[in-house]
Amino acid sequence: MELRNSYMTLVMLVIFSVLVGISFTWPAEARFMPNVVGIPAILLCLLQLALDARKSSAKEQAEHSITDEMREAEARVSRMTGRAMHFDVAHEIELPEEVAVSAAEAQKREKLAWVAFTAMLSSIVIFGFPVTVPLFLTGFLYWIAGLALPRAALYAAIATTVMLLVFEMVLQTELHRGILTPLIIDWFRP
Amino acid sequence: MIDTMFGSLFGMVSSPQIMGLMLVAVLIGLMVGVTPGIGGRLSIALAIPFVYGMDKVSGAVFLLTMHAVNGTSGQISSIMFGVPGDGDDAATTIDGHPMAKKGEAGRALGASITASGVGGIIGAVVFAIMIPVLEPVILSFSPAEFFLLAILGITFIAFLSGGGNIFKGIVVGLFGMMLATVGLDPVSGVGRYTGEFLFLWDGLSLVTAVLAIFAVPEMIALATRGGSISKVSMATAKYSWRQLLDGALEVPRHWWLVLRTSVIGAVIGMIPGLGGSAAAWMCYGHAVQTSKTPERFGHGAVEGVIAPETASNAKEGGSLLPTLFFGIPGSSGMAVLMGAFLILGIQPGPAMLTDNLPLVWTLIWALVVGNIIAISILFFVVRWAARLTFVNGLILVPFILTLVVIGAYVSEGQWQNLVVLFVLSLIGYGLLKADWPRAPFVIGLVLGKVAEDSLHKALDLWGPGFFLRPLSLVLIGLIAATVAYAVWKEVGTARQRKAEVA
Repeated sequence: MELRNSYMTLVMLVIFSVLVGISFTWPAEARFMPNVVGIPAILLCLLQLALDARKSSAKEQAEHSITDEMREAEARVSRMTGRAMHFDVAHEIELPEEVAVSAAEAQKREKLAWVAFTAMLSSIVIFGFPVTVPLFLTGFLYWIAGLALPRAALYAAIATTVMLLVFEMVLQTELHRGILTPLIIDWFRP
Repeated sequence: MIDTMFGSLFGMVSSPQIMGLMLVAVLIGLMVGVTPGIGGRLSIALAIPFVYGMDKVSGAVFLLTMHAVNGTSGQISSIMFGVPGDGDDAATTIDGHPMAKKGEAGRALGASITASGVGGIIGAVVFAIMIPVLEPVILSFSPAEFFLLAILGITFIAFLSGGGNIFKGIVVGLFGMMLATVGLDPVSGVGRYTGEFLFLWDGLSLVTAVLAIFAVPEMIALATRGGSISKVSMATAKYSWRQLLDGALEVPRHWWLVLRTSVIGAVIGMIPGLGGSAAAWMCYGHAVQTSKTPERFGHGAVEGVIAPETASNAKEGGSLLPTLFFGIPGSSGMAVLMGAFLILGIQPGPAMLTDNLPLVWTLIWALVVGNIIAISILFFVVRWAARLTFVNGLILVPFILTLVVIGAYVSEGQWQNLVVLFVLSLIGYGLLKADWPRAPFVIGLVLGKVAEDSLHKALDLWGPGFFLRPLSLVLIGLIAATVAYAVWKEVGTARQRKAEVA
């Protein structure tokens, strides 16, 4: 069974089952559409689980490079035109490569990115945009993107200024000030 | 009709505000097209917060122009460095990059920029021609057909984006439709999935959901894999202005091919879900088949650059047709655009023909004028624009994430939307990691409310037998045929794989 795919199928199955289950607490007309959508989705998830189970667990999930895609395209155009095609880009040209990242490093970066994103959202809710954005940008650029601290702080300051100018001054949209920040400001105010 | 057509053009070009916005949209669209890691639909989603407060014409013109010119600059990295920005540009790489390697980068770029712009303009013209032709068909559609069209739209996009598994695509589309039911039920007034949260009464914020499913997962993935650095130096891509001009002149020299591939591209764009890469590949194949010297293709034939470029930009005009008149987005980019239109107060559907025709013509002209501006600007800045390809994607991540969060907040001015953003981002990232398609989600979310409304109306008018109407039967036949073909194809691939292993 393709575990990664089945995991997502199970997540979707649980989501749909819960949503359809909740809908049964409503009157018939209110639950009509959720049932029209949800019940077929549950059946499709079950079908997908069965399909996943049939597939070989040994199936390789090979990463496709640009060159592989070009080779596939070469075969496709050959079939389409009925003549053997030869694309230089699929065979002779050395294409640019992405900077190789080890699995452990990728996992670390993934965790860091999620932690940074979660921290940013939580901080915005509590302290608001004007406080969080410069700190988040500086932190991300310094710790994750590897920029020097003064440069990271400069980029963050410019971006925050632009953000406040565009949204607060030009578009007249007040950005969230946070739940705690106004209370703290009031507390310090004489 | 003629009055409306030219009145809209005059109204647009005589408004300094709209023309100024178009210029900004073209510049942003071109920049985004070149910059790695930001796709067309993502750029539209990110731009939505900026159109709040604009009137519907200005906002729609701004977003459509940005979307339309996005692909025009995407081929720069394909030609110069052999790195296709997205699926649409892959076909251009095949002959464009060998041309650059032979020292003809300028000629390839001139041809591709001009072909792309001309393709966009012809696509808009094809769309305009189709309006009087399709008007009676569009107006004959009833609520029953609109419900089935929503299902057909999801089925099409699920088939094309499902990577060989239509069921996953349909499940994701249905998930979008399910989330569209969040809020007060229009019939009974009961709160559905709202709990005790007042902010959910009006439904889930479309912008928040789209940003969560598309933008956040892409950014986390970009942060995880780091930026891509081209091994090819800028020196490989040296060229003269004369070469650029010579390339541009290749387009009128191959006018018949340009016309054919533009029309093919526009027609493919009209079929929901087929999208740009299908148009580009089909037209590339067409150029090979109709060439007297097909052996040159794959080694640097200029027709191999012109054909896919005209097609992939012409499809934008075509895909606007189902989006505006049927409310069925032609592509995932168009789905995001349609969501933005709804926010601006533009309700796609047959009423666009009866009540909003001047706006339709303004959008057609926006495609034409936007492409002309894009070609003019790109000719002068292409040399510098190429440098954006070297921007480290990792540095862009925090800025884009900040824009995403601002977009989610500004969409309804509710901080609670940030919690929704987080939860849906987790699901979006799961879909990305498990290689499930995400495009059907937007279509489902956008069409969910329309589908529910149409279903209720159809049941009120004709009862449960509404799907026995002749047009409904045709649509049901199309849905069944799409699913059957997808299953047949998947079974065939599985058998082939098994045979290869044996």
